[in-house]
Amino acid sequence: MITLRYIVRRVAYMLLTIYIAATLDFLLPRMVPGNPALIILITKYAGEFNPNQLKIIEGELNLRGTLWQQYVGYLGSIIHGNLGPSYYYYPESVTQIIITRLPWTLFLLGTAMIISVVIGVIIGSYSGWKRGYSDSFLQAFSIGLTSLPYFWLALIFQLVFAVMLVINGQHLFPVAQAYSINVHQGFNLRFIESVLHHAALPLITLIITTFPGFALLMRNTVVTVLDEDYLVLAKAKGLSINTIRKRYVNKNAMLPVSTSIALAFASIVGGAFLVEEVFSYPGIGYTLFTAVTVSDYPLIEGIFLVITLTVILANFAVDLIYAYLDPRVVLK
Amino acid sequence: MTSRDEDINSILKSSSQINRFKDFLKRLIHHRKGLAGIIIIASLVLIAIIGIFFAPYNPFSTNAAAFQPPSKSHILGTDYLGEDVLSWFLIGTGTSLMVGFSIAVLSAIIGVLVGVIAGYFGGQVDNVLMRVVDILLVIPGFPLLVILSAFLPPTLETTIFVLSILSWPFLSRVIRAQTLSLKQRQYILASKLSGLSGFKIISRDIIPNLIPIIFINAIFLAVGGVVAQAGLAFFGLGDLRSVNWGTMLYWFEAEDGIVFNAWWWLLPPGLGIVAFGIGANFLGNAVYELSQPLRSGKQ
Amino acid sequence: MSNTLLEVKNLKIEYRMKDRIVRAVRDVNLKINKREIVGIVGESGCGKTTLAMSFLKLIDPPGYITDGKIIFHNEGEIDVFNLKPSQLRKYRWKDVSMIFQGSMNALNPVTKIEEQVMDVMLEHDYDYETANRRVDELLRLAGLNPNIRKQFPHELSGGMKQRVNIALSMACDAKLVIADEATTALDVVVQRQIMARLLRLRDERGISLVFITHDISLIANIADMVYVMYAGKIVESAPVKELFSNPKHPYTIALLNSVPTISKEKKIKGIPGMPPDLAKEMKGCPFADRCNRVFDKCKEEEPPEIGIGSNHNVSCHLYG
Repeated sequence: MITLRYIVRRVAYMLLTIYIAATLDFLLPRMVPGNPALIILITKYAGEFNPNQLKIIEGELNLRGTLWQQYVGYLGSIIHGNLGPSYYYYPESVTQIIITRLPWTLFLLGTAMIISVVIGVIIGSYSGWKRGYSDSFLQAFSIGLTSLPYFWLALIFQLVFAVMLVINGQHLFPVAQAYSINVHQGFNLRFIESVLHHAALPLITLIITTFPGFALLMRNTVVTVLDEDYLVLAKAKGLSINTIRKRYVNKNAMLPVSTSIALAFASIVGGAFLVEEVFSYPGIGYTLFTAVTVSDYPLIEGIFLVITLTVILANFAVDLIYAYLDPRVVLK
Repeated sequence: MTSRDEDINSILKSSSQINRFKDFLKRLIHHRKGLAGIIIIASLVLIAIIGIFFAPYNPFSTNAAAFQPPSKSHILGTDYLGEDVLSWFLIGTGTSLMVGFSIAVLSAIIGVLVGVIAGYFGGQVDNVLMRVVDILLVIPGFPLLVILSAFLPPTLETTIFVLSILSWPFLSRVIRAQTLSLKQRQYILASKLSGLSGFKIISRDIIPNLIPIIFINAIFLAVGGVVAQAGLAFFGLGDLRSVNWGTMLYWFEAEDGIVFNAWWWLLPPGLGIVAFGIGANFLGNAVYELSQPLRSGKQ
Repeated sequence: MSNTLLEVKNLKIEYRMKDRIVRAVRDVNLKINKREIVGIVGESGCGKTTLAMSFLKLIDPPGYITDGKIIFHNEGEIDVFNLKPSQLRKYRWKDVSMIFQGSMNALNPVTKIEEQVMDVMLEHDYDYETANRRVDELLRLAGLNPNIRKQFPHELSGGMKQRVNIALSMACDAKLVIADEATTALDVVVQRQIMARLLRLRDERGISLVFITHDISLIANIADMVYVMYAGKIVESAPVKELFSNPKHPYTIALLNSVPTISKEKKIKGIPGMPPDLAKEMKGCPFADRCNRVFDKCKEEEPPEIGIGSNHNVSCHLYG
């Protein structure tokens, strides 16, 4: 059950975390020697610049004034959504870059998560109900699958399905990118088709490594629930198997699964980043990779902040859903 | 107690502890999964050791042609510079395992210290420590790893340090919970009454009981560490001049191993990680099952 | 028209465990008439819950019904164990319903009370409006404020939950309700109230009740007919007044002696020894080890059921 008090507390907690993340973001680059503004000018303009330009960039990067002044200025600009200019893509701002790339990552994350949960829950529920053969197979399967590093699996898929397997002179799946170059962006069928085709391998990689965890959890929960007293009563009432399965077993078993969705988010974010890198998928994971390679500090920090915010919001949403589903929960 | 009593006590205790340990090992070996886990991990360690002494080539020697599939002279083929993949794998195994174990040990030390202190002493100490833990747990791991690795010097030590920082909070929570439950037990109260100091109680009574949990968690920390380090290396973070599973994959990706269909270069490091993961999983589960007291079945 | 509602004939139930077989019910016979309250009394572990579960054929592996039948009389005879699954589901709750032991956990924690009361009615072909209306009636019948229908189980006290279970048991107008230790987990005051409710149900609705308990004093207050169970067998059965004034089986006598009374001073005696291990093969009378009037024949031969007067049966060699 959700109370106002709970929501307030959670929001406060979220803000605290963001604040800490932002502070970390602020401090870290300032521990690296060198003047970032100078770095930009040197990289971009090969040493040809005038002192005024330096001052301007320093201003943009928040490097003027005392540390405290910088800090306040930094926090201020973040609140306004200004994450500073990117080194590498200068003069494009970090915010601009992130806004164009973030949707792709969210697309991967969201789709992968939803499909993983659905598949995992269905398989787990079936396995817990039936026991026997399918059960031990599932357990062995899960251990194997969860030990696989995301990016390695992605590479294998890429190698096999996008490079090696050639049917009728055509590769089965595209090697990289989010959509073909020769397709027009927008809500047309060809574009959507292309997007889905390109998203297939990344999504499959993510789903394969994520769903076993849910399946296993669901299976264990179902087994526990089946042992409960209210199940006996349900049977005694003469309820049909479907009713029992839906209302009595699954509904109860879903609860622990919902909590673990929050945990899964943290790990799937990492996975998504790696997968993006392998497939050159233009999300913020791939962008982060590039940023690291060229030491584009503002971009790195910006992505960190945004991702932290995303995960925290996702967790919050899941907590709310869980509180809604489980009437016993009294949120503190 | 006279010092003679103390001597006798400690002799009795240590002999019974050794016996218990031996007995435990025996049971572990008879456990199917446990045995499999031990064998897998031992094999990997063996490979690592072999690597140090018997690697066929210096991993950095580039005398062969690049992107060669497996052949008699290069059992696992060559990479983009003509370096021998097998040698990379043998030596890389050692490095990766070393990183994993280091992370496990470091995280375990910090995690156990924090957890036991917070759990045993409670009060303000507990509050403060757990607040820190909570904050560390909420920030999403991978981005934090990336950002820390990007700004700190790119060495293996950094990687180990950064990964340990992220791993210990979870462990400390688990340890703290266990400590809390142990604290309530009778023999702890008895020890307290007999006037033993906190630290003595902790080391004599609490920690020995935590050993199974610590070990199990440490195993999974090691695996997590290996996977995470590989992931970071893949991303270009950490020491790129090091020879390990992660850097093998980094170079594979960076130098378009895909284009050359170089599966012989792609498979070994990944399989190494998977093998370690499965072995650790088996071993961890086996230890877990064996450390559970017998439960009565439902009537 | 016969007055019999349900008969149990030669029932044998065993649990097959990994290393042993527990024979929980060994050749039980009993009869329940219409509008009758039957009490089944016995110690924990004597097999009474297993017996209760068999009425609704709720025995699942590792439990197996190895012999016997249960016949329910309702415009013809229903052989409960031979019902097809869909028929069994119809029989359950509509003909016979149950109030479980430990009802703390018998209610689904994530559904509202009204849903749980309605689902069984809907399953048994009541239409939605009728079912909806009946929820209020049933809750009132159990002594509850109908407003609780919108609440969840964890919001109710133990006594309230038990009353919900009582309401539930009447949801489909079952003719026979089995109350298995229905009041054990509750305090004495609530206990009394619940039992009064059950009596009213019989009086107003004409249902039959099987009241299973280990507390013989409760039986005295509520039952018409009493069956005493020991080690999976019925050792004595009689109408309640007869049983209390004229107990025959040593176990029954011992049970009655172990109950304290307020009115007169009585020496309370426990029963020495332990209930037998139901996994072991037994020779002779199961109570032999603890009986204060045991003799040689008791250890050799199992006592047959012997009738001694109006509806009073004993399984004891003392009367053979």
